[in-house]
Amino acid sequence: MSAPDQVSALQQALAAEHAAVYVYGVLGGQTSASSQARLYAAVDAAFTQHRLRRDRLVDLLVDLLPEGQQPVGPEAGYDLPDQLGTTAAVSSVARGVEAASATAYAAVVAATQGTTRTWAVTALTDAAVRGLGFGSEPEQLPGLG
Amino acid sequence: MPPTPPLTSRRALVGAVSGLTLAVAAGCDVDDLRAPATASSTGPATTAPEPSEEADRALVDDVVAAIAGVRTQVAAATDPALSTLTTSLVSLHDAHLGMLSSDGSSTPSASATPPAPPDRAQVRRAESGLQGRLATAAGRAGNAELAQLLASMSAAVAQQVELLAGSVR
Repeated sequence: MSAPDQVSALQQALAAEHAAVYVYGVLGGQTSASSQARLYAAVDAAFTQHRLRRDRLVDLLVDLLPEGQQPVGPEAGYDLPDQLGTTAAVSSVARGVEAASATAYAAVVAATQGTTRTWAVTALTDAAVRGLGFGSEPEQLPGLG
Repeated sequence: MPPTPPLTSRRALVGAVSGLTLAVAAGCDVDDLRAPATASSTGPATTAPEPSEEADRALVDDVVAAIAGVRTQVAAATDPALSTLTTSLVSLHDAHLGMLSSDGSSTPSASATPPAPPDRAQVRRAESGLQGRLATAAGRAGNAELAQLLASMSAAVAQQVELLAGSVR
């Protein structure tokens, strides 16, 4: 594994986390804390976790990137379905976010070593397990399917 | 709850929600990590495997033994309430053993004495322990693809542990 591979994998994971933070922010606004309490709690917890992972990735990349290069930033906006007013719609989008996260962290595992890889293994596992909470089916190889 | 960011424009989810899910193929060939079992007596002198290759082979052997041990324990469960979960677990472990074995075999070695039927908590403990071992092995693997495969297997077992806890289904 090379340093460019490592940076590339981390940048892709950061792009995925920017999207995740954005999307969960939107999903939170579409979810009722009273009538969809369980879903709301899951979305809120996911938002918090992805924000932490985004910040960690930024820190990692700041340490790795040569002077003059920056961690990728968020897009101005992200495509989402027009209708997000149901539990099924919110859960479906959340499953997509977690699947993308698992894939991104599987790539980070392959491109890194040491504590960063250990962290990525945990992030991959978290995404796989969190996806179950939104209705994903268990897989033989999360992040690699 | 976090504030909802404004949708100032609607652009594609760059490499995220839809794009990244199709990126990685699962085909890690563990045979690539294994040195030939025997050397030809008439051929050139054999080259000693790299230290990391030797370490990875030992790692795979340890992981295979751990999966096979837990698989045997889980397969001994007799509680009808666990049958769906244990069937899924045995199937998962067989699939993982097939991916890790040099010949694609998923048949675990026979246990000398059949284990006592485990209850739900014992199955969960065994699977949690296996999940931790797979995660640790992923961190130690010298080969990047092996690390990725072991990490993904760890995540798969973690999903089953979550199902055993009954918190998501």
